[in-house]
Amino acid sequence: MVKKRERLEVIYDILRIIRDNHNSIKPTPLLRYSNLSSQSFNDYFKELIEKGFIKIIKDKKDRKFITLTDQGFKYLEKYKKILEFIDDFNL
Amino acid sequence: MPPIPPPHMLINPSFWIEIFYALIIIITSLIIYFRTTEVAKLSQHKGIKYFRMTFLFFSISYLLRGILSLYKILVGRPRFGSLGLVGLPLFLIVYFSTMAFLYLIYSLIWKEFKHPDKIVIVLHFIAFLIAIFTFVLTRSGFAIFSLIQLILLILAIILSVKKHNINKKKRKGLSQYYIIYIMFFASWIINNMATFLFTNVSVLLGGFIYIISILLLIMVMIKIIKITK
Repeated sequence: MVKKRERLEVIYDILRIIRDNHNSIKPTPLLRYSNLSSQSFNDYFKELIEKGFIKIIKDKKDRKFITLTDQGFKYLEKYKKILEFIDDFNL
Repeated sequence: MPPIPPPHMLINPSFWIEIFYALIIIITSLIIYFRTTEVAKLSQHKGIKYFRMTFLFFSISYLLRGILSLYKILVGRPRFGSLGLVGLPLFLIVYFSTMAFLYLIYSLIWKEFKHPDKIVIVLHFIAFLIAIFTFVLTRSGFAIFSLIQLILLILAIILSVKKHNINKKKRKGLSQYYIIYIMFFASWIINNMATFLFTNVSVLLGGFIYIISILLLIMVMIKIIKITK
């Protein structure tokens, strides 16, 4: 059975997908690559916007793109440390 | 108004040892608390949040304990059940240190609850009841309080081992830092007992407990600094 991803891991995966796509991706491919149901994706998407990890920008043709904020990059940078912390102190 | 301390008390080594010890513990605990602010904010992980709170409550408890120790040295041994200047810090020490222990346990089991933050109110209520109970029962109250802390610590160890057994595939053993973390709380209980229950603890034994507590806490702090660098 495939292990259910933890919340922190899902956030990491979503942010990583955005970063690996030159920090600019449309919502539909992001949903596809993130391997989540539409409902879950929408919940995470909303949470990431609220926390200031991602933001929506529009190009000249008014197309929506998602990019990482500084906070989002910081999360990616600190992710392994956060996991180490949780693991080391049994949290 | 408390009597003015005789000048010889200020040159008493135990006076300065108490101040120095309390300061180290408070500063170290606060470093742990503030150093983990960013990871707590980024991750919004409840376990990290409760871990931090453990140290915040711990530092408050130690601040009060330091004040009380000074009072003990300068004025005399305080008694439980007495109201006012002495009674209130004793009540708060029990309250905050129980909160520290409850948060320590809660940081291990929060995932079992659907709305973890709502349970926190129950923790405050339990700590309040224990503090009241200890406060009205005078000296035997503190013995019961120390026993409750010991039970909470044993519970934390049992939960850790249980959690470790569930995650056996993932880990090789309990993290050495977690063991240090638990040992630190054990030294805190011994310390409490030495301070409040036994009137004639030798300077050597007291000093040994202090040094062990400081070393264990500093080891936790170094790990936290490494993680949050």
